[in-house]
Amino acid sequence: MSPPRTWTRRALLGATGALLPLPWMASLVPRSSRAADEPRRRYVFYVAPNGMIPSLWRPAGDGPDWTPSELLEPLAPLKDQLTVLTGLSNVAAVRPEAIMDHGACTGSFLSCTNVSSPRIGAPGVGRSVDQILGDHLGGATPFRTLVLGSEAPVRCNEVICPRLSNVSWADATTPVGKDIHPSSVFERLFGASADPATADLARARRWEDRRSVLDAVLDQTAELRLRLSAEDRRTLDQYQSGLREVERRIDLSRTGTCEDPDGGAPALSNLDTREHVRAMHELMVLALQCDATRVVSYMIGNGQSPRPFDFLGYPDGHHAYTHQGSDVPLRAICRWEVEQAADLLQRLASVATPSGTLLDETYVLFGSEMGHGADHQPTDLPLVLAGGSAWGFVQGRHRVFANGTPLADLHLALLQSAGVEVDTFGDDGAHALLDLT
Amino acid sequence: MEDLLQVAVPVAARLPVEAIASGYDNQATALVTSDLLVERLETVAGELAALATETVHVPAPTARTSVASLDLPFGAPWEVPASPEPFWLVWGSVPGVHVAFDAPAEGTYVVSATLFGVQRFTVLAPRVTLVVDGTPLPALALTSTPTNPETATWTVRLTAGSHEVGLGLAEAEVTPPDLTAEDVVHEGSWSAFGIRDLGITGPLDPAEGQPSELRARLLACEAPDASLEARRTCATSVLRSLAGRAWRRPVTNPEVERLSRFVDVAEGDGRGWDAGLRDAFSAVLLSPWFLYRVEGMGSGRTSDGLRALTPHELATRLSFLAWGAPPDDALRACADEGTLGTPEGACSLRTQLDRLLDDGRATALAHAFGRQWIGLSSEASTGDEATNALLEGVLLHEDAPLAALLRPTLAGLPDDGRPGGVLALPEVLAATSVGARSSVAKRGVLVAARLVCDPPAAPPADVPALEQTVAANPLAQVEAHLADPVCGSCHAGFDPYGLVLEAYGPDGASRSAWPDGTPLPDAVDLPDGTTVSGVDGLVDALLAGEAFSTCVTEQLATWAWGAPRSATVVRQIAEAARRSGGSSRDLLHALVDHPTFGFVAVDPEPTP
Repeated sequence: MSPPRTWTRRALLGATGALLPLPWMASLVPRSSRAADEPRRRYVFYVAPNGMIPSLWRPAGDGPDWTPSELLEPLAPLKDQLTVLTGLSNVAAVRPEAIMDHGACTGSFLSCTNVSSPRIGAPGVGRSVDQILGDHLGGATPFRTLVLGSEAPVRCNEVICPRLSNVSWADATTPVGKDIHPSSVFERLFGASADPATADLARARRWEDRRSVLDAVLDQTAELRLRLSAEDRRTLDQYQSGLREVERRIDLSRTGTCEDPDGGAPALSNLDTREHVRAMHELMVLALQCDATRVVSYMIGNGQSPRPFDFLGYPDGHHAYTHQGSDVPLRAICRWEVEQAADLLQRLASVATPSGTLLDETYVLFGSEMGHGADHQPTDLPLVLAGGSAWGFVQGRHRVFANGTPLADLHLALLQSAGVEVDTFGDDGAHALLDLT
Repeated sequence: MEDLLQVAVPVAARLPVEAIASGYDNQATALVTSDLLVERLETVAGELAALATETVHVPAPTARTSVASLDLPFGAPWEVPASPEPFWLVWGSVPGVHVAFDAPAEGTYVVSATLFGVQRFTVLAPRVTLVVDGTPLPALALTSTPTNPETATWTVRLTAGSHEVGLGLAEAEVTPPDLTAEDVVHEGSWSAFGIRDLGITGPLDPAEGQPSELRARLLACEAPDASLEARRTCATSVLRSLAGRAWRRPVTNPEVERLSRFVDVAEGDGRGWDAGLRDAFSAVLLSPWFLYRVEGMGSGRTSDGLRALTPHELATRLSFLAWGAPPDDALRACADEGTLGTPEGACSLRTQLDRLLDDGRATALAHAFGRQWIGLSSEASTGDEATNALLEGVLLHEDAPLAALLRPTLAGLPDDGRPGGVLALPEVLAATSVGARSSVAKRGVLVAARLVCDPPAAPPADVPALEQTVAANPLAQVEAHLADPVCGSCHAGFDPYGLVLEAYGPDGASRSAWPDGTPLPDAVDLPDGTTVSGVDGLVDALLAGEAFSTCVTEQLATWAWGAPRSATVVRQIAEAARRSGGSSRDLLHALVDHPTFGFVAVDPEPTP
């Protein structure tokens, strides 16, 4: 392990003048690289909504003998470190057919829970797999989970709407809320403001002071809560739990996690889509590397996304091209998304840890909530499970399962691999799909 | 936060995006408080508290000016190097170029100038002088050439206020022996410096202990050096005032005590008065009373599930209606006196509302409400000037009839020969298009949902089949929709409106045919059976009955209350507004005059 390198504000600012191929935070070596620890179990959920093109996705052959398809080709260099999963579906979570739309599919991808399930409202129902993993693994890290995205949430007034923009759920109707600002993620990880004007102010705050302020506000919140209606109480409960989470993080940060970056952040605003995704990749790797969190979920875009792909020469969003006759734009967009997942995997594979690489210690689930976006069917899902070889899981396969095998079974397997003691997940997960331990 | 501190706070990129319910971002049901939001609030509140209590400018206020005048005492022509607009500084011109500079504070400033020279006699060793308020500073010898500019800098001490700063060429120290004085003037005129940039920056060192502008505004007293008792008294009054404004209500003594304790603790452990005040400010800003609008805390009698708002809750509701922001001092004073809402006088709701609406801040009503009403983001800064002008012109102008929203000429506003008012705004037309294609359905839904308040049911599923098969033009698609019993049952309720609005392309341009050459239909049958011709005909039809004014009432009431109102309440307000004349102001008056404006629905029996 290389010794920590000094990281100065000047060096960082100096390195951000152009689009550099190397991560700008490569020199930020985590303070908490406490060697010889038991390898940590980490999980990344990398979601690229709106489906792929099944005919161009499914690889030829199965088992260890398979050939990457056109769309999977960007992942070919990592072929031995991933498994392509074919045949899974999430139908149970989106019935009845009447609401089998984008929101239902995207929103339930990590929860596998039907929004109209009769069990809605029962404790824990609808909590997404990343959040449950965070509950189990995140006690010692400043962030139980890190929920990120590269497209702003859809602003609309339909009930189903939040489900387009969220895969991470506290419960069936409460999205966790994703952070779509790289500068904000930076601040949260390093406790340093990305805005030079406030950088010193933020760092000057002592944890004891923040704790005492939180105590006072929590007291006041509890008093106010008693005077409110049941519905408003729910809102204030969310506020209270948020405050407690901040409190917990402040306590943890006393021992230090990520190296304090000693100054401002690099310019992280006004990024185009490609720069934004790249910045998020760097932040994700850094967060896992310095043990700020062990669970990340990331939406490269939203369900039914209108975000244009100008840089590929296509002025509309992924969604629009799923409903067009020619599949030329869609192929390019899907392929670009797979390339991005490959980029993250490569970054994880390039970080050495005592037991191998960060990728070896991280299960990365990459995939989409539909087979083909045009059908709005959560069947024949395009899924890749990468990494995790530190746990003995043999990668490098194309695994073909019976059509309709629940996606929830895969999430169940991931939960069990982390030691979460559950034997069901979502509406229809009852048999762990793989032995990932 | 910006309204409380009256400072532009760069928080937008650091807080998560809010949810929207009922089409507006101020709706109670849209309130989801994620851990992420709380986390970010804690950070931002702490920073703002530090900003508000700091004693030294961080960063130092900076003034910078650039060369603004040209002085050529010897006349042209000069041998000028090709260069972008330099100013010329020539032999003997002291000061040759000068600028007026307004120093924001006393302190040290840096003057810098980039110069490039044209010299005939290098022996003249030209030197550049800085002249401040008529006094020259020691000259600097320069060696720059036309292709090799150099930057000269001087550090000067300036008092606050205006100064004249100039640059000139000092006389040569060595007079060439073979030149006469006349020659020097003549030949020296061949030496010149071009100035590319003259800048003044500073002050670099504001006086220690100088309160920031924000602190000076927020702190009615300053007490760090006074007695312990005086410091405590000052802290108490500062906190009572700040918390009162932040929480939009009077603050109780125990609450002030609790905040003052931060100051006591910080004084006790040696961190000092400022540090304590900063923690107390953090607690004020992170309080749920600041972050949420709390209503129904009064002891007023509950009947039929209604409870009277407290005077301060009422003031808050009123000011959020007009300004989207907390009450100002005058409105708070009415609440403090308990006279807000009296039928007559300066504190009647109408008088106060009119006062708020005539204030510049009322553009919030036009933007936050108006823009969201027609399906746009409330961010006026990114919107079209035409949109904002129309909404402001109708919603804020006292005599403008509501109908002017669809027919701007009724309020004396221009319509540029494009009928439709808000429906003809390029921004609206673009928002109801998909890429380069106008959307009949989106435009139709906008009219149905927001102009006549007959919103279609949510689409059962995103059904792509038609879009894939009907490639030709919107007319064919509409006919196919209407012919299909499943699609048609809903589309019949809004497609006709959208079809009329096809008279405008996706970029807002008027047109009489679709891109494929198919002419637009001459007449369209609206959902109620009326046949209309063109956008003007649609406007006639919309304004013919009461549906439009009632619908605008419904939308505005949803905005004002933070939740949709019952059809009965909406109808009563709309009728009162029409009886008074039907202007936008009549509607706003009717809204605050309605008996339920001062009430909030509460649980009949809140259970602890």
